[in-house]
Formats: sequence, C-alpha cells, structure tokens
Amino acid sequence: MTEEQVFLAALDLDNPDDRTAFLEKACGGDVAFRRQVDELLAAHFKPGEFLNEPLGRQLGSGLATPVHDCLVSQIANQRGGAGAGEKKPEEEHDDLQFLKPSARPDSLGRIGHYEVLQVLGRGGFGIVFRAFDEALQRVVALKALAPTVAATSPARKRFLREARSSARVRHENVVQIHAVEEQPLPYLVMEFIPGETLQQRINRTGPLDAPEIVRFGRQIAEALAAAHATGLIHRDIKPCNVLIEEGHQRIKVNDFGLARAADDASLTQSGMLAGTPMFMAPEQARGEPLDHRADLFSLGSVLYVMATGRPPFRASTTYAVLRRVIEDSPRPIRDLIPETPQWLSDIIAKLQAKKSSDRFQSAREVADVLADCETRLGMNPPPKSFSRISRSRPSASRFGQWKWLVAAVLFLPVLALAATEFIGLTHWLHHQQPIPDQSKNVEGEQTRLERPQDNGLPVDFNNTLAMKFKLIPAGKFKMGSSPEEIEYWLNLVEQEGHKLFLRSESPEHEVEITKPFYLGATEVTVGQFRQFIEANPKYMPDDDRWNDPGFKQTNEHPVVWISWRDASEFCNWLSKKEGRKYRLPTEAEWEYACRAGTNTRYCYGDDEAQLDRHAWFINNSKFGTKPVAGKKSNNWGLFDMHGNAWEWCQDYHDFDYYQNSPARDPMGPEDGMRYVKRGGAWCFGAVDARSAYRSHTGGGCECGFRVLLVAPPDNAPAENAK
Amino acid sequence: MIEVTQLLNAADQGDPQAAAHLLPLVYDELRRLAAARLAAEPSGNTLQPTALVHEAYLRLVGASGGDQWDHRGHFFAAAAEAMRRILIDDARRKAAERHGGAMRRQELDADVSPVPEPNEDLLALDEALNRLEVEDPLKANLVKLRYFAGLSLAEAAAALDLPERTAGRHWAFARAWLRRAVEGSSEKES
Repeated sequence: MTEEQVFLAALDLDNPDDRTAFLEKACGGDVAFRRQVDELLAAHFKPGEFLNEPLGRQLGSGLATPVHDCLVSQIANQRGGAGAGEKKPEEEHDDLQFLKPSARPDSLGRIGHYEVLQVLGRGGFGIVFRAFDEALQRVVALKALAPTVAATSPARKRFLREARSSARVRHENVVQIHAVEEQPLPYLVMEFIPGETLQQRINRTGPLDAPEIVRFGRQIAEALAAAHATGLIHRDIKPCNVLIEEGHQRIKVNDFGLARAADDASLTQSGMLAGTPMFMAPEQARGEPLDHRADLFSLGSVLYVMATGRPPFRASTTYAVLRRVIEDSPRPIRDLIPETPQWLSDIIAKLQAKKSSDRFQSAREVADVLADCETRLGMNPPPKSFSRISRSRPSASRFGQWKWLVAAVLFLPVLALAATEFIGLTHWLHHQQPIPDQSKNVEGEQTRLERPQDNGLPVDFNNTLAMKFKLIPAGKFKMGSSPEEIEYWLNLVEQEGHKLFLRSESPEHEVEITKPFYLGATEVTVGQFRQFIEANPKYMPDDDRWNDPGFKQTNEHPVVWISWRDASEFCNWLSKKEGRKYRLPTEAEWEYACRAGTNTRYCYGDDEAQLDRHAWFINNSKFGTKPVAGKKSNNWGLFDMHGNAWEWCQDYHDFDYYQNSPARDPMGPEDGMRYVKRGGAWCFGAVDARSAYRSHTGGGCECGFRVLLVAPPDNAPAENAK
Repeated sequence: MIEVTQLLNAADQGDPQAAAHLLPLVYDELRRLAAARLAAEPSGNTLQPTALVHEAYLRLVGASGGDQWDHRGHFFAAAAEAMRRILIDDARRKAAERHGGAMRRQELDADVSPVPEPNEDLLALDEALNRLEVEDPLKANLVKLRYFAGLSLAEAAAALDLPERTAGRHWAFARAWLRRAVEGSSEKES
C-alpha cells in the first residue's frame, strides 16, 4: 500500500485502537514508513486552520459574510414588541461602543440627540436602529455605517455623498431621509416605517394577485421616477428594500443609492459583492456602466417575484446567479402561475429585456402604464384597450408571430389572433380563452396534420434495424435567420469564432424541398450502430470511443464519436442491406425537417427557457448524451433535433453558401474541407441548438447522425424476399 | 479573447502547450483586476480570489463561453496558478517590507487595523506545493483551486472533473502532506 492508501484507510477508522492495529499491520516492520504515516495523521488531526480558509479570504478578513442584503428587513419585527424580548445578548453589542451612555432605562445608548431604543438589523455595511429623536420628539430609524467600514475614508465619504443625494429625493413612495450626520461615525436619520418588507409579505402570503402587483409596482415606479429625475439610480431594487407601510398599504422604497456605497464598503472589506445579485440587471452583473434603466430591470424582477413568489434567476452560487442574469430568460410567469394576465407578464418581460434599449425607457413610462392598468382594473368590466402596453413591445410581436405559427400548423381557428398586434391583451379580455399550446404538440398529434403533398405515402416507416422514420412532406420554408435574430445572438456570444458561424446563417432565403422523404425519428443509436460494426468486422471506425464514450451509455443512447465517414458508411451498408436508398440529409433537408413548419428560433417557438422540454443540452445534460426520444418531438414527430448528438449532414460546409444557394433542393458546395453538422449537442448551449445554427467544427464526443431514407421506401420489394 | 477561447479549446483536446500558454494571459488579467481592486481602496488589503477569478473568466471567455463547462476546468486551473503567484509574490513583498520601510505607513494609518497574518507560512507552503506538484499534480491543482482561487470543494471537484467524495479524500491527503512538510518536525525528503 502507498502512503496515501494507508493514510486514507486509517482515516476511515474512527476508533484509535483499530487505527493503531491497522497501521501495525499495514506498515509491517517498516519503521520509516510508519513514521511518515504517523506524521501525516498527526498533521491531519492537529488543531488549527491550516489551509482551511482560502488565502485571499484570510487577508481580507473582517467582514466575511456581509448581510446588508436585508439590512432593514427586521424593521417589522419590532412591531408590537416595543423592545421587549429584543434585548440581545451583551456580546452582540460590542459593536455599539460608539453609543454614549443614556439615562433612559429602555435605551441602548445615545448618539447625537437620539436615544437608540433597539437594533432592527445588522449587516456588514451597517446597523439599523429604532431611535427616539429628543429634539423633535418622534420615532425615527437610524442607519449607522459599521464602525469597521467607517474607519476607511473612501467608504465613509461615499456613504455620506450618496446619503446626501438620496436625501434630496422627496416623494411619498420613498423613505424620507431627515438628516445625515458624521459624528461620531456617519449615520442617517430616516423616517420610521411601521410595516413589513415586500419580501416578508411574499414569504407570508405567497404570490400576490394582479391588482396588488400593479398597485405596488406603480408605486415603486413612481419612487424610481422621482429619484431618476434627480439623477439618482437606486442600483439595488429588491423585495427587501421595498417597505409596505402598515395600514396604508403604501409602498416606501428604501436605501436609494446606498447600494453602491455598500458594495464599495464590503468589496474593500471582504472582496465580495455585498448581498445577492438576484435582482441585478445584466449590465450590472457584467460590471458595465449603467444608467437608470438598470433599475427598471430590477423592478421587472421584483414584479416577477410578486407574481410568482420566487426570484427569476436562482442558482446556488453568486457566480451562477450572475450568469443566469446575463444569459437566461426567466421561466415564463404563466408556466408557474397560469392565471397571471398575459399583459402583466408582457410588461414584466419588457422590463426584463436583456438589452436596456429594449426595456421601457423610463420609470415615468412604467408608472404611467401601470397607473393606466390600475385605473382600468378598478373599472368593471375593464375597457377594451390596453394599447399602451403593447405599443412598443418588440418581443410581443415576436411572441404573437410564434402563436400564429403554432396556430397555423395546427389549423385551429385562432388565426384571428394574428390579426391583432395586441395579442396578450386580446387574450386577457377573452378571459383566459385557451390558446394552442405547443406542449400538446407531442408525438401522435402530428399524424393528424393535413399534408397535401404526401402522395398517399405512409407517415411512419420502420426498417429492419427497427429504426423509426417519419414522412417529411415536400414544401417550402425560410432557411437561415433574419438579421434581427443574428444580431440578437451576436450580442450574446463573445467568441469571434462563434460569431462567424452565426453570420453564416445569413441571408435568410426561401428554399423549396421538392420531394417528400423519410427522416429518422431519432438519432442513430449505439445499438443500431453496433449492428453495423458487427456486420462489418473489417470496418475500422475513425474513433473507437463510440462504444466507450467516457460516460455511461446504453444501446438506446445516440451513438457519438462518429466521423462523417463513419456516418456515411453506415448509410451505404444499410442501403445495400435493405435495397433502399439511405443517406445523410442535406443541410437544407435537415433544417426543413427540424423547423417542421415553424419559422422560429426552435421547432416550438422562440423561448429559450422552454428548450429544456425539447432538448438535451448544456443546461440539463452534463456528463453525457441521454437516451433518444426522451424529450418532446417537433411537429413532424422528430426527436432530439435540438441537442443530444450533433448531427452530420451530407453537404460540405461553406460559410458563404447562403449567398448563392439554389432555391430548390440545395445540395451544398461542390467541394470543401469539412462537412456540416446541425442541431447542437448535449454539451453545448442554447445558441448552437437552434434550428438555423450551422456548424462544422471538429468531431468528437458530441458527434452523431440521423439517417434519411429516400421515398418511397419500398421501391425494392426484392429485399424482402431474401 | 479569441486567443483565450482557442487555447481553452486546444487544452480541452489535451494539448498541454495550450494550458501553459493560457497561464500568462489569465495571470495578466487577474493582476489587472487585483490591482484595480487594491487601487480602489489602497489602505485596505483584500483580494477575494473567487470573485476575481469569476470576473476574469467572464472577461476573458465571456458569458457564452461559460456554456462550455469543460472549459472551466482548464480556466480555473490556470487561474488558480495565477492567483497563487500573485498572492505569494504579495507575501514576499510584504515580508521584505516588514524588514524595510513599511513602518511609516503603519504610523500614518493608525486607525487601520493591521494586516492579518495568514494561518500558513506562505513561503514554506509555496515550496512544499512545488514538491507536491512534482509528485502528484492533480492534488497540487486541487490545493491551488481551493486555497488560492477560493473554490469550494464541490466547485474544485467539478473543475477537475472528480467526484466530490474523491476530491475530499485527495484534499485530506494533500492537506496533511503539505502540513507535514511545512510544520512537521521531520526532515523528511519527499
């Protein structure tokens, strides 16, 4: 046994006697070896913090875990308690040294002319008290910069500067700052708001209903508008910075501008971003310069929490949250709470646009829109126009388009919906009339589709390897992506290589597929490929890892580590074996079949958040492919067109091919170095899984294929006779 | 940016040169970030390595590159080594200052709490880590990821593509091994 093995085995024994006995045996008579192991074990059990704390954190010790996050959230906790039972153990008060002794028995001490009555909250950034203003004889809230933070002058200066600028904002929905003091340390004197925070409210009651969301949201927007008018950005709008005043149900937004001072302070103390980034705008998460529209994104996220009861971007680590804020669309609200009106989820989606230029452009505008909704909600029945909501919504029209396409595909009589731009609104006014939901569109349904050009061919066909094929009707489609779509993704990806591929989706052009064909309903599986290998013992696949890919696979997994040559040879063998014509699909045939009548980003629509239902990709399939047909099929019954294995196509790849591609049955460039592959893969992202994404790079653990069968399937009856 | 991504791709395909070329790029970025942090608050003395590493990752690879989770292992490995150099250099510089003219600054900033002393003898640790690196590079990487880059055990395990339990056992051994080397009484040759 090695030193390591003996050491680890000894650690597994809890009883010291067992351990000694084991060591005797394991080390035999080797005294030097035994001493080494003993020293290792001694080092292991020796008390002390050796290596336990990352070095950077040690050097930046002090405020290891800032919780300024919900600094004031305890405000409500004191209600009715009148300080009783709130007496904290003395050791917790050692940061209250700056208070002067007081004569009042219920006071913790004095600061200026304030009697400090109670600690309402503590954080890395500061302490919040309930206090009594002796001069004006009223209860106030005091927020003092933590003594450790106050010691460093930039943090102190910034705190004072931000506090003074926020004191200039006077609005009924903003917590009023009465005074900003510097001695003995910087502190704010604020209006004391009895009530609870929005976070506490949501925790207590769960999601709020639409009228309340609109009412609260409007007031937050008013507060933001007032602050923005003075040039102040909040930077940290979140449910625990929103107070709901008891009795009035009035909103008071707290901590204007202080987030930056707080971050500054805690960054320099601990190097960590204070608080949670869950409500940050993407530009904030990226550390880019920001303007007032960052607050609008955060407002969107707050409305989202009100509507659903949960934050839109959740993850286990700060970093993962940041990434989600930057990359992900939140789960559609109506997935979580179906009765949320469409117009409300549209408003929220617009606030949460990743690009600030796609959001509402001012808090005033948001406040006005919500005020409009509020008024109309108060009427019974609500009037017919919410035109303000829908007017400037680019994503609404895309959403509308998507609905239109689904409707068109299913031939349901809701085409009328497409006639109006105000789809969400129409829907709402029609009292949740069910709309065609793509989730119904699973395998089985597609056989009901009207397919005029099928020429009497059967929709389903199974071959001798039990491979399932689906009939793909002849037809026309738009191949590639629109300039807007490409622009959208160019803004999201950063790698130049990636951008090159995205640009190759242009120009979008009409292509006609003139003959129906059959396409494998699934990617070729390990089991099917194995039959090919077993039937051709002389054939050497280009990479023998197809059978041992580095993760667990069964015969039902799509085969990967497949080269284009392997895929083609499989088709040739199968053609010869069955007397039919099998081949890889062309790039055009692939995209046409993938789209299955849609013109959207994915075969079901544009929403990346729903890709999880249709595809195995990076977000849901770490460490390997997944058995075929585990997710929803597209309209034509094809599985895993998005994700799982990346699929080889027949044609050579050329970035510029779309510039002069034939309009009918394009076959790819005459010549080339590499072949096209389509559909993204288990280890790649949502961008690569799109219907239009073209790739060629590499081969490897993501590469598999699907087979095309030329129609009609049974043109060689002789095969059956053999 | 392209360069980093290409290097990560090459590293993923097992090119050891790529990993070596990656280091200076990551090192520069981290140095720059660390310097910016220190400049923002010169009297403080803090480097939150995890935050720096993540920020460097977002800057160098970009959010979409984050999708390629296999990239992250190589990136973190380079970043951990870079952080080690930055922090150890810093410790060396401080050790030199302690013997030299750093006292004046201390007097001027009387109300600044003194710089905390780490639990470890950094220079001895660095030497021991060099030896561990020769004997068992995987465990040395694990230590760098955790101690210098500030990753949690789970994050470090993911970066190294190890089950967390295995990483935990590696960690226990590496920690004891280094501690024996740094603090142990024996004159053991490794």
